[in-house]
Amino acid sequence: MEQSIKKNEKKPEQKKQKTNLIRNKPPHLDDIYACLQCGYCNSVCPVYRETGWESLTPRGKVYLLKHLTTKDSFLDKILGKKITDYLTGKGKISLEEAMIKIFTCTLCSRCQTICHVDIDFHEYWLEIRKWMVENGIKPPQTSIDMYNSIGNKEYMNPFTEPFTKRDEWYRDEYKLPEKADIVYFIGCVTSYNEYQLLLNTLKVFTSAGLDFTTLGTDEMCCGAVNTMTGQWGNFKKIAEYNKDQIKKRGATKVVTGCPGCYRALRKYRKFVDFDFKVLHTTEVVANLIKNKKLELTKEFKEKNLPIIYHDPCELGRIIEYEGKNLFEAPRYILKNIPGVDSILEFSNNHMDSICCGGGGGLRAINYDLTADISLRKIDEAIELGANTIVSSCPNCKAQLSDAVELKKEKMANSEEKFKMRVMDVLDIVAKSI
Amino acid sequence: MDDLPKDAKSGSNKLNDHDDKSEIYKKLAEIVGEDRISESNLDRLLYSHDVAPLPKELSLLFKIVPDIVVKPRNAKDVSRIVKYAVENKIPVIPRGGASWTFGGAVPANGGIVLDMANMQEILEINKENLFVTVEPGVNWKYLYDSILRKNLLIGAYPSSAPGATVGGWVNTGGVGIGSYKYGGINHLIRSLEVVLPDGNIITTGCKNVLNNSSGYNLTDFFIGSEGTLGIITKVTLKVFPAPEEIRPTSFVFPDLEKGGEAIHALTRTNINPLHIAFLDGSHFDLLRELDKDVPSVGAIVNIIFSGDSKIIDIQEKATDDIMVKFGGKKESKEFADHEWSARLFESKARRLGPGLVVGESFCPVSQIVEMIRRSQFVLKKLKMKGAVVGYIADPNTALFMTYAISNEHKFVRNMASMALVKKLSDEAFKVGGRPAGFGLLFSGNLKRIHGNGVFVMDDVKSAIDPYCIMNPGKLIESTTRFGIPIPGFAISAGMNAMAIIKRILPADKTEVKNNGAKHKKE
Repeated sequence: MEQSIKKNEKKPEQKKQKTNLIRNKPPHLDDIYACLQCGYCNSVCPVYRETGWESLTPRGKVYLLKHLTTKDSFLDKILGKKITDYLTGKGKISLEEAMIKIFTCTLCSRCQTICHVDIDFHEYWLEIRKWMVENGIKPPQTSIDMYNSIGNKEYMNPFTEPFTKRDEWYRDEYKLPEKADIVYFIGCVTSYNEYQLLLNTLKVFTSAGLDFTTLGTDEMCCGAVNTMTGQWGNFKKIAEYNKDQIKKRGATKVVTGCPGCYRALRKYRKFVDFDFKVLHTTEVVANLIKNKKLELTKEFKEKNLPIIYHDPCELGRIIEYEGKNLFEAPRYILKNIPGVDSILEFSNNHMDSICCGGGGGLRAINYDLTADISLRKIDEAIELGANTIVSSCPNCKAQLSDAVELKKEKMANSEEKFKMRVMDVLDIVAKSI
Repeated sequence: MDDLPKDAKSGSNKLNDHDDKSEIYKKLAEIVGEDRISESNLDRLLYSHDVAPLPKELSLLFKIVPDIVVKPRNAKDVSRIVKYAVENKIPVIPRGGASWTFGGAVPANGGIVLDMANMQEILEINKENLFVTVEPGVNWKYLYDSILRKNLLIGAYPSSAPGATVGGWVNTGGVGIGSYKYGGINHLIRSLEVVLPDGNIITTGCKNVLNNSSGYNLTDFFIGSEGTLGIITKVTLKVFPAPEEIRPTSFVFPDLEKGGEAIHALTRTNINPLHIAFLDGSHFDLLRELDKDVPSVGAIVNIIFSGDSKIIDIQEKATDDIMVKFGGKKESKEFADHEWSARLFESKARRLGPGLVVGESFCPVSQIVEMIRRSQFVLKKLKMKGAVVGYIADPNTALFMTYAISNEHKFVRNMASMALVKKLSDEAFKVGGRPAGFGLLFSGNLKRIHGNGVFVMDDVKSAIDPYCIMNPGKLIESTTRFGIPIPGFAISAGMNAMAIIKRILPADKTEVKNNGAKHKKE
């Protein structure tokens, strides 16, 4: 009974959507047709590695999109759709199911590194999500919740946390000026979940004597979540709001420690008049070290050595595709930390770095899957003999820390001792000041 | 990630016999668990194809969409699934990376698709006895990289290494990059673990030593069997000590025929390179249309050496002399390195169509110039834009992978383009060679190659698989969904008709859409 009601609800909606998808062609249709279906992307896809479903690979998704947007074939016209469906055995595809498949992706863009026909996947998946949402297919409920939370004046972040709590970790300790040359755009993950990273960054900036301030409780989510979940509805408004807030502080530069914010802020330029220089904290700190404005004296604790560096997808590969190279800044910082002689590298690094699992908003949609992806990462770090995983993205830090806890739970009964720290580059810098 | 069971069920309701289908689902779910099985329309659709763009109209002949997709975890799972399938006479189709162009992993009459690509662990790397044991779903590039990190070398790997799986290449009897020195997959396997159609699990060889003494060589039965005899669940491969150096060299020739002559001369010496590849100048013309930064050349021959640097020095010098004698000009090291790194990416031209038809065939190296001429003539006769490319598999075997661009948007033209495959295999027969694969459509060629031997193959198949559940409709005979076999001559007559249509149609043109600098990678 319940099922039949559900069916009745779905039917008319689906029919309407399907014709729409064929008429409203997706962006870059030529990419969909160019796809060779060679399956090279499967070999690098972290989601496929854990799930093994063709429908969760870039190849499968492209094939699916091709199917959804193809006009009726010769056979359909002659025999009619019903008979053709019977003959081919294909049948109707549930668009909600298709949407879940498209959203089950960390947006790490590793598929682009190996694509046989050079599809720009780092743009492509965002555009496809946008196109699907625009065509009225509902994204997963968690994505909608995050979108609504950002739009709500009481929250202005994806986690339904009150906006007043945004500066609670530092408002007593740091008295920041009203106006400054640099605005430190903290980002929601750092503000609400990674307060240590937040405090460490503030410590580093203060001891380097930077003329900086934050947006305090006026900061709004950068809108990266909106771009990732295809819900671009209020992105322009967000850009406008944050731009005004930054302008109010009289700043010329915006610095952020979150690669997601970093990319989103760069995107503002397409929507509003955003003429601030956008920098990542690792760039700033690397420059400070280079210009001897930041003195690192304390030795890094030997028991936490060796360290291994994990390239966040958005700060490494994707930014590289967007025309900026940020592979070296974090490595330069780490090499200058007293007591750190060498940094280990994952066997897949730089452009080929494997996602920690926390990207693309997948954490909110399918947490277990992201945990599996990061556990594999942790296992590799153990195999390579690392004691500390260092990253330069709060999302990676949160994700990998969770995985370390999971790993500890799993190994609770085994005799082997497991010890692994997860740190951000800025955490390490702060510790050696 | 998990499928929507409700949706899946309501989807299947509309289609086939519901009771029967649910039964399969329930039974198989007992074996592998619900999260490793799916019968939703979406999943079934995605397991109904490989690299070959099969038109929907083919559904009149074959039921290419499977009834259910299962991801087994190990040989025991496979064995239980196969036992169930035999009891109920349901076809079982093993699927690897689905990176072949002949539809080998595409069901001919529905059934259970076993997604073997999901079994992707490297089980043992044995440096002492120089072998590696892997599950069939291990990806070749991943395997190559992992082994190389341990200072070992996989002898040969397919030219679609990032997409192909070990099990898939065994089942298609592949030759590939490195085969010139180390042989095809049949020279590299120590042993296989196979699940037979009665559910028994057998091992075919010895993992430590050669299997060349007396006794029927069971391993060879399964190599190139296209999944019609059993399901490979474990592969033990020989490995070699990693070479001190892999050194690519490239030579430019005024045309491919001159390059062919040079290759012929090279294969008649004792120089033993890792790999020899040849590419027609038109391949580079097409890449230039895609805004790639490649030179305009008549033809290019890439010769790759591996081993100790001092020995390579000697071999390289001797090779240089031969190449120069036939009009070759050596290219820079950078160019050769670039060519080597592009070895796995030779189908980029598909974007120009969009669409690509590939005809794979073997020909004797002694006839390589003749085959080059004939292939180019076929392309011209069918008014197609494409290129003759290929590599040398052993001193007297050249593998031609001639490709041409088609247009998927144009139904008749696209179908007619398929004639290229047939025409190229005809030419291969004429020069004393053979086509490379059979798959869904070309099993008629089997008789042409093996004559009465086919009847023995038929007997072997019936002995091992009496109920014909293992990938039915492939290799031994093309059987349609209605159980009526299609004789080889019917397919070849159809293909010839398509060739005539293709010749009547106006010549193919390529057009590049939205192809600005953004697709420029090199």
